[in-house]
Amino acid sequence: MRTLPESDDVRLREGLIAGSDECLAEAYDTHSSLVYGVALRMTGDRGTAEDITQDVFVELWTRPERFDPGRATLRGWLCLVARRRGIDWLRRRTTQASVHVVMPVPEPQCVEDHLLATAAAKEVRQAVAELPETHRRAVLLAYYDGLTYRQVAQALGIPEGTAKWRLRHALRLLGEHLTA
Amino acid sequence: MVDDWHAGDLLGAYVLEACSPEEARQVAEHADGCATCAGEIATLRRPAEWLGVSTARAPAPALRARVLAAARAARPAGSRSLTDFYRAQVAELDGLLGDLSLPLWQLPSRPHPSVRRLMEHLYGNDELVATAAGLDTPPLGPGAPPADVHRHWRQQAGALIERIDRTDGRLLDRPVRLAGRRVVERPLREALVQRGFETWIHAEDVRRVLHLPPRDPGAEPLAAIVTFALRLLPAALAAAGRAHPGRAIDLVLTGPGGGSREAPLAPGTNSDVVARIELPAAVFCRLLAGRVSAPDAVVTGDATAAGDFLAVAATMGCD
Repeated sequence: MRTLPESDDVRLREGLIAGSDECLAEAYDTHSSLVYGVALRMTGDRGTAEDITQDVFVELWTRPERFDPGRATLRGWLCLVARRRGIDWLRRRTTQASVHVVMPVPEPQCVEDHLLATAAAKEVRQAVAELPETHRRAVLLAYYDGLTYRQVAQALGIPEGTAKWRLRHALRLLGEHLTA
Repeated sequence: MVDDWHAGDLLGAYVLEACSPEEARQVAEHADGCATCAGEIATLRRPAEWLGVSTARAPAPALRARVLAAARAARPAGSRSLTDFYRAQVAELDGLLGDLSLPLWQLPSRPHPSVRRLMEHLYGNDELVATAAGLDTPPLGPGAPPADVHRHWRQQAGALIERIDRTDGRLLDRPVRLAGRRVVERPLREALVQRGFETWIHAEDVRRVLHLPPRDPGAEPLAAIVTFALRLLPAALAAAGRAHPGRAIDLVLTGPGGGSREAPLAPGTNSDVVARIELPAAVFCRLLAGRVSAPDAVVTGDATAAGDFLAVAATMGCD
């Protein structure tokens, strides 16, 4: 869908395909806090989050051609892979799939990290924090707990149509905030 | 599905992978032909890609060494440069041509009427990339004697390799018309993979003339050829009227250069796997070049989709 791949992503992908471990180290240094953070938020377990982080970067290294810079950023693709691993872990752990416990969403932590130090990352945290509470809960349940919109509706006790609308509208609001 | 149906409220859930597989397939199929929904998906995907940043947290420093070691254990590092594969195949073909007596240059090398004509054809295809790289290539007149054809080809290929090796990188992003039946432009870096691919295939053509067995180029070049071709195949399927929107092949390639690849059967869609095709990576690459007519592939699932994929794949060569 995207027409302008990020040049760093294209370069890293070429390097990874060519077997450059400098490119792997660069990808890790740039994106590991993002991948680890997503995994930790989903699982709540440091050891599991480390295992997922390892799996994600080993997959990037062994199958770099699966990442298509024309369709996603490397950041987005790594988050997607981390989320899928996290969802697998959550499903293995949840033996009774019909019962979802809505965990309180902790406030994002302040972390001294080069990724978080960027203005863009601060902006995202701000944009998420400024979402209406109803929208934020829906989008975070879908994103970090791996719930479908039907499960989001069930967890929040709202109609499915409302859950779908909140997910779409939350992303729109985030997008507007990030491009403002 | 009615004509004026739009994915509408499902798009947020779709971008967050929070709808059912069936709904995701419907949205993907619809968006493939609906600019409005495709545009909104692209718009919503950007903030979705940023969401994870809000919980970013630095892992323990020790994790870095552990992850890098696990990665290297899964796949050893290599320092293959972009031109290594092409350079190796040029050297291989150059050596084979040096062994050809004058009468052998006149023997047919299917689908070309003679080795000489095969090499004129290769020279012409290389010229597309050489010209894009800014090289001033000497013209090769029709009916030139074999020694001239050989020399011109070798000089042009050598100059191209030297030019790429000295480039600052921006040249590699320059669009180049690829060789082949369809008019397709791709960055020069991908055209170089195609140069290596075609040169390998023609080296094997010449090996046949010399009654020598085929020679695989190695795991990494085979994997690069597969990546190169899979990127072009969705559009080629569409151009051939054999696309299957929202569907994909689980392509299981065995042997050197192998691995499992998901091959979408139409451009620009999220896809569900409907068939599995298993064959050696080297055989798949020769199929792409049109050098294998009936591959010994194991096919399971949707036979029509698999048949269309293999039929169009076999047209991806440069002849």
